Amino acid sequence: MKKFVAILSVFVLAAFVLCGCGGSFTGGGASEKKTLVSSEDITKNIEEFLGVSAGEPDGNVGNRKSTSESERKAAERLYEKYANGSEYSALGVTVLSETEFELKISGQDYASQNVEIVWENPNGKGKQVIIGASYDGSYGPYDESSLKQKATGAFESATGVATLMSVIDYVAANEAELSAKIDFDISFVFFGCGAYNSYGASVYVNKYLSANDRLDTLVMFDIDRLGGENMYMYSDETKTEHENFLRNVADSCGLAFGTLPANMPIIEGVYIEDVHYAHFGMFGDQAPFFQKDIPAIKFFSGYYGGFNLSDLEMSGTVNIGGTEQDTYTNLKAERPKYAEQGSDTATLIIESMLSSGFADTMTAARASKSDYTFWTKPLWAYLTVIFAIIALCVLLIVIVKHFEKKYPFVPQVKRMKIAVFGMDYETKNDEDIFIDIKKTGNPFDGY
Amino acid sequence: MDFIDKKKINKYVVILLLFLSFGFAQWQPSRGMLAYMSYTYPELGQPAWIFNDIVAILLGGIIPLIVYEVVTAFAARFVAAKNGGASDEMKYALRFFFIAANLIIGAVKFVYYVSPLVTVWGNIIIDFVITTAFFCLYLWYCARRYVPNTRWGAMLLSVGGTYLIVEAILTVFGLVTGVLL
Repeated sequence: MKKFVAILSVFVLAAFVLCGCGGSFTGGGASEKKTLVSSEDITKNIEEFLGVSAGEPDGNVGNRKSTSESERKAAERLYEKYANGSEYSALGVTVLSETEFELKISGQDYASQNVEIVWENPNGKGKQVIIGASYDGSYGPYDESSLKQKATGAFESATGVATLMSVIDYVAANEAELSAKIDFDISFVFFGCGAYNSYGASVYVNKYLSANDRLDTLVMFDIDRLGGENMYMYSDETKTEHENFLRNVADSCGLAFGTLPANMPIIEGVYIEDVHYAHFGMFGDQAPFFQKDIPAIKFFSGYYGGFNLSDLEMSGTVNIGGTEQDTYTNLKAERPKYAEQGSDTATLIIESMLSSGFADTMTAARASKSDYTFWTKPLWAYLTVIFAIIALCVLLIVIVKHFEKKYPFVPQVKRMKIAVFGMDYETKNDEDIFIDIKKTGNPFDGY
Repeated sequence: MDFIDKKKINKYVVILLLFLSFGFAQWQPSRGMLAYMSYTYPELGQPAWIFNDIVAILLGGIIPLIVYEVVTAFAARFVAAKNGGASDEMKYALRFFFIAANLIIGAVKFVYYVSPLVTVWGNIIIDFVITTAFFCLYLWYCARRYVPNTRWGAMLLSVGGTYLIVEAILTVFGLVTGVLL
């Protein structure tokens, strides 16, 4: 017993020690980090998107709450920039009326919109890459009365928006080089209602992409919150070719992107269809694309694998995303790495698209996607247990019958008799119980 | 197993150990529940003193312990009424077997760190298989210690049958809430 307890204690202690093991990071394959998009570009774009000025240090774009007027104005601002900017003449911008969608929340009707910018490659062969980011703000529960004007969703989601804007700038400025090196189109999509279960991304992939468009999509890159402790990359629960490809590129460019640690808390519930569990890496705009078998990768920042089980941005500090503290002033003060991480993410995306073998790898990734839904749906597990219980019931009955036959229970029948001095009483046995009836008063009365 | 036969450990200490063992067995699902709570309520500020593994273990033990004690209280009365015999001793001994089962279940679930894909099947199959195996050991133990061989059949039917009925109810409840609804 003592040995068993000692062995078990060692095992449990080892598990606790291993619990803190984080994921591995790329970036060790280059002595110098490659930069195609600078941190200054990211900063410029986030300030432009938020409407930061000397008089409005947190910007004038408002909180961009899903389906709000503020979100609509942000969409119009993005549309105007790319539709009317002379430097973006090579890009096509879809009119907002064609990207609008409606949704019902708690019985009420709401409306939102995506913003889609497309670079059609003159040498394109019909395939496309989609790069997306949510542009709405995630602050607050879904209740207009809880809105506070201060929060502008700088960390969540303006950092992703600024990075996507920087990639668009690079494509617009290097169109000739890109069309010579790659043979696919690139669609840049700013998703509305990202904070509401990635609704905008879901509408885009289900309603605006035809079945052929989905088949022609090589990969979808989702840019989420940036500025946290570490950068991560997530594609699927199993190793994938497209993630391996990107990790190799990140390694060769000296860019540090981590894998999620093994001890991520597993949340019971359905976020991705047919997968009856989830974790923080799964939440995001890449999920609707993944569900349609489009290879998808999410880039995001945070701190995972420590003592705190939360979806932390930085270790030891309170999150600002999704709170009234999510302002540009706080972003610069508390999440200063956002610009560098935006630069790294944009560089990785661009460098990957320009790398040899990119299109072939993404095509192969789609073909080799693992189908593990048998293991991630609980129906057959429950049915297995039910069948096992039925089988055990049958076995139990058989065993009970066996013992009843082998060791039959013979109940002992006892007879009650009146105690009378005489033969019966003198020759009593185990089957007899004698009851003595006595009159009150003199015990010898009647005898 | 003298310490069980002679009840050397105080009953409430055993219940405390049982509570901790349930927490260990339900540690992984409990971690997920806490993580989801911290995600859904960002206004809480993600305090480490709430959202950590130790709280996960303690919270994970509460509901299983309550269910266990309620079910065994009723089951013990039913078995005693049907068979007579040492129902108190059997109830005391059962806790030790569940403690052992829970420790094994909690340890096996570390496999989720290697492959989270087995989480769904694991939470259903691992619990049932290991608990049932230890319950069978418990029935054997009771048969050797507390029940004459002429009452083995009756004891197996009442105690074993009660266990299978409870497992069936819990499984059907899980199927309805987790799959059908």
